[in-house]
Amino acid sequence: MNLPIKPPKLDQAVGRLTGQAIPRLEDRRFLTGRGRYVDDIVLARQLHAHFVRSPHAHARIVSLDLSLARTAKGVVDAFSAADLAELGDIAPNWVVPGSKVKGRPPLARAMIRHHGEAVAVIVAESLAEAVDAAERVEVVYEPLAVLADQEAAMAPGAPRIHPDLADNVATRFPVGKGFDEAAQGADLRVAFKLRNQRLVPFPMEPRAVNADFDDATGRLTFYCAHQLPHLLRRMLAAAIGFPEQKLRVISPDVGGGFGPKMHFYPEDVVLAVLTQRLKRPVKWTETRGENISATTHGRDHVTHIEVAARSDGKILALRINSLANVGAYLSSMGSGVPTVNVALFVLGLYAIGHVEVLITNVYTNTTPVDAYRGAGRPEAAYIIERTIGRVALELGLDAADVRRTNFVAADQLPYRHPTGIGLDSGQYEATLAKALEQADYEAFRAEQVVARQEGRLLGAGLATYTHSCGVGMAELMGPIGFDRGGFESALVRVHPDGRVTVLSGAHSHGQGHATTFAQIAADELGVPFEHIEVLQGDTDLVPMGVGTFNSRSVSVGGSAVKIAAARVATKMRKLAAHMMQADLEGVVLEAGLFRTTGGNATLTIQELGRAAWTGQGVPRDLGIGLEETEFYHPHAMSAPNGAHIALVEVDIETGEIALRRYVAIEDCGVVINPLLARGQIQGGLAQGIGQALYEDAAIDAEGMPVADPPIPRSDMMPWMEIDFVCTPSPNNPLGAKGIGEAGALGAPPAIVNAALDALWPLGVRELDMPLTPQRVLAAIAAATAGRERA
Amino acid sequence: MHHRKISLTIDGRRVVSEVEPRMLLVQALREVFGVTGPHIGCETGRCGACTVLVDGQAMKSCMMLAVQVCDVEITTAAGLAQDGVLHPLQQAFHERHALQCGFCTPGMLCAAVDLLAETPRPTETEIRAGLRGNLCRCTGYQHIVEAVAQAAPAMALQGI
Ligand code: FES
Ligand code: FES
Repeated sequence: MNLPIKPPKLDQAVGRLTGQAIPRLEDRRFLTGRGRYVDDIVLARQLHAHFVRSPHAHARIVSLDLSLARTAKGVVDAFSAADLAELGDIAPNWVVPGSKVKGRPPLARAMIRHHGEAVAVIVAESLAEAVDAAERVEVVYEPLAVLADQEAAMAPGAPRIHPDLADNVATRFPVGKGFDEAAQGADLRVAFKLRNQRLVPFPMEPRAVNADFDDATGRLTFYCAHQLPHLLRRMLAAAIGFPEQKLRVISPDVGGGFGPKMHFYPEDVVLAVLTQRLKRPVKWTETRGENISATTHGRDHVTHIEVAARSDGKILALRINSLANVGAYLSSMGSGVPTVNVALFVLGLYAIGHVEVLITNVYTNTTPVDAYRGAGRPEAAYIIERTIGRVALELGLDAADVRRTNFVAADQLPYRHPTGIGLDSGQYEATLAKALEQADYEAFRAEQVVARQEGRLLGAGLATYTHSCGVGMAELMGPIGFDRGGFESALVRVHPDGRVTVLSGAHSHGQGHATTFAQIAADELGVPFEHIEVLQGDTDLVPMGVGTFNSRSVSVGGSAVKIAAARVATKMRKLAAHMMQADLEGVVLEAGLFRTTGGNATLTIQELGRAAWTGQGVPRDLGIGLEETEFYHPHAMSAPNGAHIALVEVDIETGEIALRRYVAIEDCGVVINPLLARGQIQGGLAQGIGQALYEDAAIDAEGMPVADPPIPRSDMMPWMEIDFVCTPSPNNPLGAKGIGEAGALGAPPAIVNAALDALWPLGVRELDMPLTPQRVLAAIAAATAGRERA
Repeated sequence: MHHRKISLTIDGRRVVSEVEPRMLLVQALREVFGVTGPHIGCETGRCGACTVLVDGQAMKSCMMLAVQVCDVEITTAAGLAQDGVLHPLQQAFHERHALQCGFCTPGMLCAAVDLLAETPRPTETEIRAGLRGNLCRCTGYQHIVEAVAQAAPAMALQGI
């Protein structure tokens, strides 16, 4: 078979290893079934926990009786909220100022506020026994009226999810003003509404915890599938009142994260307490059903958009009013993701002078919503790109031209939006041009005209995107209420035998840090790449770090590795110069051997390593060892960007959308490993295409989540055509920008714009994701009925 | 519940144990025999993370009871490599970066072995159809499709 595989063309300077498409160092264990995930870990005297969960989305707990369950075979004990009275609610880690915080209770006390909320936990010798005993738990619920939808929850007189609050508003977040003034004299004013639907993140490995308290040492080892081991340690220690230095979080191999595995959950706290009470290790692995109702969801915004534009497509002003469904409680980042991460990014890559945004976070009887791949920025990209697409269609202009008309110009960079967000670097016109060329855009437009005459519906959809990656600066995180550091740690150690250990506070859950970070370190140190081992995910081992989210691992974590490795390299050269009695400038290291450029003295890295770690023959002022630690704290973030094009054909009879081609051109700055970067783009695109065409975690009026969310399968995905442009970021030593979230930002608007482009002549103006055949047919029918009425 | 005796071969190793009649094959592999390559992503037959080869045929091991598989030969991802040399599919998955978190990978590899046994020279469409029972949330499948296409001629050559 002939697959259209094009090696990426990179217009960037590459190092010996940096920039090379190298297969991963860490693959072998995964390929041979030897990955080690939390559920693979079984400890001596292992106990198993099973949570009893509410079948109702809103109810009062009238009574709860665990006595029968406690006497069931194999059961060690069972607990309800009353048994864990010392525990408070789970505190969010990001609280936007002014938010009314209602954290998740570890176990429901008197009220159930979403389906799947845990009311009790049973601990038994085996999981089967714990599950069996759950049938002997007697809970009487008094079901209450369910509010699952944010618009319903905001209706006047709506029941309150938290009766001690005045209404169901969790946060109000206004940004900017002046729409009406700026819209004066516009040639076009349009108002429309869109929904960015709720999604289930669905990592293939569900959450898993194994909590192991040792009462002889007073240490608690907490195995957890997590993206932020150090932050989890801090949050957990604070929640249970445990000395942080005695709490060890180990996050071994993690089977996908996508956001939800960076949060702090009720089950974490409960297991940490149970292992201390029972003095035995307690393990819990989420079932897929629990993953769907107890692990955080993503998106779920209803947005009203007003746009004012000139007849040439220049946008004068934008007004956004969104209701964000945050679920029953504020999860870790639940107040910030739908507000800060949306409102500040709604201008995309466009120089739009006036923007007015109001985002209201709304409590409902649904699973809490939090960061999911892109975390607010996909919502922002969807808003602005749907708006640009709408303006183009309304004015009869080409969608590419309207984008060019509005782009921030090259000579405006670096640029600051009125919302405060910075764009550091890019070539927006060139990136778009490359995408148009790759997609044969002109030819497609010609084909579209002919097809229309034949009654076939073709559509081209464009989307650009940007966001800020590489969080970030403590000075910015403090004022927005984000209680975590923006730095990342790296320790680089050259051993006496010349082999290298890199410890990193970032944590791969599939991204491949063991390879990319080794590439970065190898270029600095001049040692063979295979001699470098990158270790992560153990708070006893790794210097205090932050973790992996916000496409930050390379730009922040990788920069820390580069800086630490460079310092070690400098020391190696100084020591080598001393040992070879040469000038510092004349020392080079190649493949583990030091040479002097002038003379013919040589020194092996092993000789150097031994000297450094014994101190013998080493001047005192050089100190002992070859080891450096860097806590890299960025001064600014980067703004990756890209241009995506979807070419679709809509079947007017069946409503099916065929994605004929999908093109993504990405400017993620300097690419460390194009093979892995492509993997990140494809994975993000799969989730973005999934959102556009298939996925929906719609919660019904009774508050029931969808039992089997349609996650894309191999035969539901198109071939993705991916290429790069490279504008190095000036904001970090690597020039990297971030790539993990790109696809999830670009694909939804590109595909929906394509569908609307195809259906516009039929009078279709509104279409919400996912673009199921039923929905497309309904939109066509509604448009036809509207035309007939008119 | 009375335990029942089962005996089978896993990755070339003959094993015998007693299991509860209700125990799933995937649980037996993981918990009784310590073979943790097959993963549990759903336990309801939807994700394929638990896929193993039962007498050469790809099966979802969460959809079978352990007691159903007496005297069969089971191959998991751990049994694909021979004498430390990766199977051509494993090698192609590595070279094409067809895995990220690796959680779906052992099951995906077993499904791909079966696919290529049935269809030695598959088209892209046939590869996609053949792997539709195995969810991957990380890769978007494209590198997996490339890897299977790359491995096909190598496997035909080796007569696997
Ligand atoms: S665990 Fe068997 S198919 Fe998902
Ligand atoms: S590699 Fe993560 S699910 Fe496939």
